[in-house]
Amino acid sequence: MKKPQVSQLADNTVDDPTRPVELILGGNDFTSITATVSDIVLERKTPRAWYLAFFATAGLTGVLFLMIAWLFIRGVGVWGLNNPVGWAWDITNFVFWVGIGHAGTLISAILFLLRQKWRTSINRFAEAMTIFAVVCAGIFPGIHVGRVWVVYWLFPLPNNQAMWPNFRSPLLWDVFAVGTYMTVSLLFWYTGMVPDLATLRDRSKTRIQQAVYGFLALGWRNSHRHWHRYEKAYLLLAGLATPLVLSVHSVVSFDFATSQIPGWHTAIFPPYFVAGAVFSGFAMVGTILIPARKWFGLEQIITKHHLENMNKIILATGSMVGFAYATEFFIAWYSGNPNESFAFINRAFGPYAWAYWTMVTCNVITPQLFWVKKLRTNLAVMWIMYIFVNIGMWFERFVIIVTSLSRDFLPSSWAYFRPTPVDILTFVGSFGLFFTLVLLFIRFLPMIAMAEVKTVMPIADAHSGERRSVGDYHGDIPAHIRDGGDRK
Amino acid sequence: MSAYSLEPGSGSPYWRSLQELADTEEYRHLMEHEFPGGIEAPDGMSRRRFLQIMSASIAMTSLAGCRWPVEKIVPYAANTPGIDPGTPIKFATTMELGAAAMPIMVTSYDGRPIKIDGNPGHALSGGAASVFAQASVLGLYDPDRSQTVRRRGGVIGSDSDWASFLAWAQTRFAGGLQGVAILTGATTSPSTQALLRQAAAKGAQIYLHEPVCRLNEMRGLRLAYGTAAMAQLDLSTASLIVDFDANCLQDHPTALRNAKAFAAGRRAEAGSMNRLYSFENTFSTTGGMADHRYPTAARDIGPAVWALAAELVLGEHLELPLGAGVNAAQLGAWRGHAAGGPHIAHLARDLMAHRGHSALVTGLRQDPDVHALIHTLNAALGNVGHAVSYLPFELPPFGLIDELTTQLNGGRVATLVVLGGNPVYDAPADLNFGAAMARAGERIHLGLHDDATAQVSSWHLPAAHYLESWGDAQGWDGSLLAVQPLIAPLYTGHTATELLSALVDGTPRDAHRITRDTFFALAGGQGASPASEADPAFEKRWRAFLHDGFLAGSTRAGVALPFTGAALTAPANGPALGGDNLELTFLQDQSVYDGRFADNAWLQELPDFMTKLTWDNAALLSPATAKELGVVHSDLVELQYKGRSLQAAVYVLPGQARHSVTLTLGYGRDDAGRVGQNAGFNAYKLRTWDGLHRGDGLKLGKTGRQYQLAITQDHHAIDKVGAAEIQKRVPGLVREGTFEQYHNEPDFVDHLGIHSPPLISLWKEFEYTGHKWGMAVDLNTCTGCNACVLGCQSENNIPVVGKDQVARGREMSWVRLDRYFLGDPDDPRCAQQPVACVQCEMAPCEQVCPVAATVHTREGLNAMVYNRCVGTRYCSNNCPYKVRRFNWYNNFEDLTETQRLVLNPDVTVRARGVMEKCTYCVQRIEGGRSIRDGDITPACAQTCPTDAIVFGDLNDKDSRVSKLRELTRSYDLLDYLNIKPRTFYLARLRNPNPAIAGTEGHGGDHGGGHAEAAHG
Repeated sequence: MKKPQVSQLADNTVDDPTRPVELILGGNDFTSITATVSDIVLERKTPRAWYLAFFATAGLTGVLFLMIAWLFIRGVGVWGLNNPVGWAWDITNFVFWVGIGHAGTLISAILFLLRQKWRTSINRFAEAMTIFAVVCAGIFPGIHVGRVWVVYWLFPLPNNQAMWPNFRSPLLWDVFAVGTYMTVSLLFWYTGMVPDLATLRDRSKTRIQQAVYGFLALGWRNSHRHWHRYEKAYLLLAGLATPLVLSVHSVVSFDFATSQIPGWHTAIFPPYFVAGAVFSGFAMVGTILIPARKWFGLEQIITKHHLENMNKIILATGSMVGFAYATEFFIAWYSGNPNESFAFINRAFGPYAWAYWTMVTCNVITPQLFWVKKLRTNLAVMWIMYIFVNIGMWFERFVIIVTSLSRDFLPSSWAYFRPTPVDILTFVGSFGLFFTLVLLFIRFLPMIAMAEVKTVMPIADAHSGERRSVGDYHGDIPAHIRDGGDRK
Repeated sequence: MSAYSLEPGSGSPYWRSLQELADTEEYRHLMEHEFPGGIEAPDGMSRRRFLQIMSASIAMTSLAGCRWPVEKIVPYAANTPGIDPGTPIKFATTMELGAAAMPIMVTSYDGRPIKIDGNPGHALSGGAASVFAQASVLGLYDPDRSQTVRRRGGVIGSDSDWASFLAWAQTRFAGGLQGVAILTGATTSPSTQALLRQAAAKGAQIYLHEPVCRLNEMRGLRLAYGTAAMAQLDLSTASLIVDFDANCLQDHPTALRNAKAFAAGRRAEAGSMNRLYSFENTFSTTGGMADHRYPTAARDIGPAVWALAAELVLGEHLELPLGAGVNAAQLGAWRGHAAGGPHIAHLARDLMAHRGHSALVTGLRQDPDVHALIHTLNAALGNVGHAVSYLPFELPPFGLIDELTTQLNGGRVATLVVLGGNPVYDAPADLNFGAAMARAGERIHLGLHDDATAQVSSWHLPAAHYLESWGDAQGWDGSLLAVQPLIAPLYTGHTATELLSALVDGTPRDAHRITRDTFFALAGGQGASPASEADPAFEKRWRAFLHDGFLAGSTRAGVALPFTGAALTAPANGPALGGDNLELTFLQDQSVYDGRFADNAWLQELPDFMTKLTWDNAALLSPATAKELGVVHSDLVELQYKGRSLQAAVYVLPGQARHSVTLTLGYGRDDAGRVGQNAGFNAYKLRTWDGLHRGDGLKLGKTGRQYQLAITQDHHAIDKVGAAEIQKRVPGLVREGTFEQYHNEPDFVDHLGIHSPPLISLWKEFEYTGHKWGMAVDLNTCTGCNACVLGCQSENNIPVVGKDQVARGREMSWVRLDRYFLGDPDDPRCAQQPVACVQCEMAPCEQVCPVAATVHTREGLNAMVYNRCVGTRYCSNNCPYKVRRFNWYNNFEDLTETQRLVLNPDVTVRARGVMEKCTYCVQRIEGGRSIRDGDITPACAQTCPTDAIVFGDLNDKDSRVSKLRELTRSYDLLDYLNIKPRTFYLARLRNPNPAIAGTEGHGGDHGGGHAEAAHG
């Protein structure tokens, strides 16, 4: 089948409220969608670039585990932590990764319930990313404790000491929140993938593929009853996951909000953290999607319209985050609490001013460029912006955690935090793990929800012929479209 | 562990077999000493070896060939009546440091001393102990202590033994002690002094060397009174104290007694408060306590004293005593001298108003004439007989190290005996003592360490630690003090008295015998002391002496002395100080003293109270001087002084006198063992005989390099935002007012700090019906002497983490002394505050621990359950006082078996990854039998010289702590957080001279560094 070039695709970012947006371009039909997605896994030769990337990321994963091994052998002292700053990169990384995980649930659950059809092209990817990000996130609280060999005491396990964990501690709430989130996200992802796994099973050529995909497909036979149950389950899971989108990062923010350190002790944290999490999650999805859709020729499925919608969400959540920053300052002044005021003045003008202004630049100022349509539909611009947001959101957590701890109530204990190479390599290594998992996912699982995409295609709609979809070729209509009649 | 000629494995096997073949003398020697020296390396002492010494009937000397009598210690085969294994016992003994003897009480656990406190029965201690005394117990277990006799420069290898030495000595000194020079440190021991006199009688020359020497003081006394004396300071009767560079609360021989008496005079509730003026170049603890402090270059202290004398005599018409070395005419030129500062007239008036109730004191760095003038003024003001008095004594006819050097260089010393000390390291640089010493035919060194002096010696003899020794000492108040061993020598050490006895007595006596004989002689006995059965009365006195640690009734009362009339020379300063003519002053270090404690890890990591510096010394500069010279904190600079130079790091210390640079002694040792090796900068390299304490002409050159200093507060330079906030915040944290204010407005503390809405609880709080432990910290009497910090470290097995970790902000000390400077950086006020866990009732740490490892006890302690802690550090993050300490690494893994002996068995040694903090010494609370007030005392309160820390039951309305709680100046630190700390503070009160306070708001120039007018 012919693969249309980007220049030959309709520009579906054109606004025309009278017509529905065409979400799948390139004259695709059900067959071509199935082929495009499943061939990546089953037919196409693994590109050399994949191997190169995989070895690079697996290497970094190795670095991560080496660093963790060194940490376990020597102790938490291998990091740059000190007395006032008891948490720094460890918890920053934890919150950063958990935050990234939020895009998945938001897209899967909330956008599903809101019937946002465009989610179908990116939800599988985003959900996968959620799982991987939570895997990365889960590492940090696990390894940051001093006596890692008894970390299981954090779980409410029956034991001979008859000791329960302290249910008043937000760290324990974290255990439950992140644990629940991980479980539901995994279920959601897997449930949604069952019909596609069955497709892969049916198209498998080798015994192993047939066995593995067959096992994973849970005996899916595409029957009406299956579909009925599936839709019910999916809806229920979406309903379950929706509060989680709000709860996980709210609970994570309680780690700080319920403490009494100035800069942590603020009621605004739960909504502010959730907005920030969605913000960073979408940026990370975009960071990976842009190259992936290009390398695997998925531009007609993950169109600019999808990306533009994501950018709008980024603009919205970025502005919320900016508003939260402003509110923090306002409250610091309005509360009349001198320690609180100092915490914020210190953030902006103290020794960590560089980190604070990096954060503000990346999270508040640059995303405002997305008000301009030309910029938010430009692939290069948006990709750079995603990177900015990723950086900015990491710094946001760093600023909150480290600046607050480094200067609290008694000036005698103030200190400055400097990371060690182990800190840095552990963080870099966590990216290695994340991208290794992403690469494995791309190689072995359907990265686009084929079944779901098909439901939003015009041909799935009996009345599609009556409406002409939005789209602009900015020039001549390509021959294949013209000849194909553009589905009038 | 250095310099064995043949260490196991160092030689090639072929060489060894050739040796064997040749059957040389070296080889035979090697065979005799199958494990040359290194047998106990690297640890020094295995547990097995320790147990052997402890429980088997090992002699105090381990060699059969030794001719000191062998003394048996009874084996522990059967339990000794009255001694329960696992129950600590206390012994009184004495530690000598320089000329100051400190009566102490040592706690011993199953035969191993683990903790040192002051001897509560003796006025020189009153239960308090200095940091040096407290840390000396760690020195006992120093694995780098010298362990074997070494013969150097001889035909055979360097390992020898006492028997060989004694045999050698017998032949060597058979004909008397002509040509023998003995170099000793300052000692107050009657036994040692008697033996030294005997040695002198046999022809030996005796020399004295003490790096932190009080010669100026003695010369000043001789100038004024014609005799040496121990000047007694009784600050309890002084309502006005003027300290001229003496640091009388910290560096004085009776510092602990001074601090206690000073604190007694600061208790405002008694209705009056003393007033302290301080003139000094470096901010000291005394300066920190002062109501008026004048940063004054050390060379301007003399002029300041003269200016004060002029003001008193000419302005206030004070009559000088008969025989005074000055007269009004001489003083005329000094009236209004700039060195006296802007308030000298007010000070003079204040002194006149407190005649008979004041005390003037100056320190060892000031010239004899300044001392003499101070004595004169004290006498004129009627203070002698009250706050000041004298105990005259006869200085033994000892020479000084410069004469010894001349003798050595002249080849007139056949044998040099160095009794302790490390003169090769700490003698003035211009004497070049190491080279001079090498000229002596034989050089015998008795020392705790195989140090630089040992390396130059032909015989190095390991000394016994004072906790392993019998001996005696004389307190500064004249009392006779006992030194008794807590443990048999861990290595083969002997005391100086034993060595001297081997030189002068026909049959060497052991230290026990020597001490007993001296005690007998002092009581008027003739000859050797009787055996224990022979004279029950004597035995009873002897036992009481050992039990008490001092001879009851031996304290002498000070007297007034007549003046000699010798004329005093007025101070004459050279060219004015400036950026290219700085003053360099040498100061004893608050951690390593003169370098002798360089291998003591507790002291190395103990932050200096003012600088908060650990593991290093530094060139202390005032902020203005640093700015003028264009150097900043932690710059490495080149100090050029009298043709010598030394690289040192800069520390910009607020309150340092302008153009005056201070360098503390005792660092930069390259012979200090594994702990103190090369820590800091060796001030002795710049110190010369003609200016032991200070001199002008220092130049400071930049090197362009930086040096990392490990500082426990302000771990990095504070930016403007932070500095401004500190100035704003501290008055609410370290609350203070004036005595007058307290009188007029008793609840003034409540108006300081952050105001909060009414604090209410969200739930019904726990009611403490039993004990309710609490602690009071009186900021008005806390001097910042660090004794509590070290007491806590010793009691609670707090690990030492090293310079690198301190620089990373990971020091472990449970008590920290917060120190802030307020106001003009060149003339600031100092605010200090000891902070440890305050045991909040609503503890924020407890709420957030996910595994409930920190919980509250029924008596209100915030308990830390070490074996439940997983180490999330959340408790520390949420602690507003940041008093929790985390074990980032396994801090005990590098400890040798010997070093582990110092650990307190009542306190858990914390594992890696565990949080720890102050527990109010819960082991003492749990171990307390009786519950009367004062029966349970945490280590910090126990050792506090000023009783600034008081612990007790807040539910007992009659307890001291409850009464302090009632005072209107008590307040809770961070009270507005509503966390209800159990430790509360009592606000500091200053007692400024109202006349001066009226003129305050000055531009900060006290004229200290600008006394350039050439007088005299």
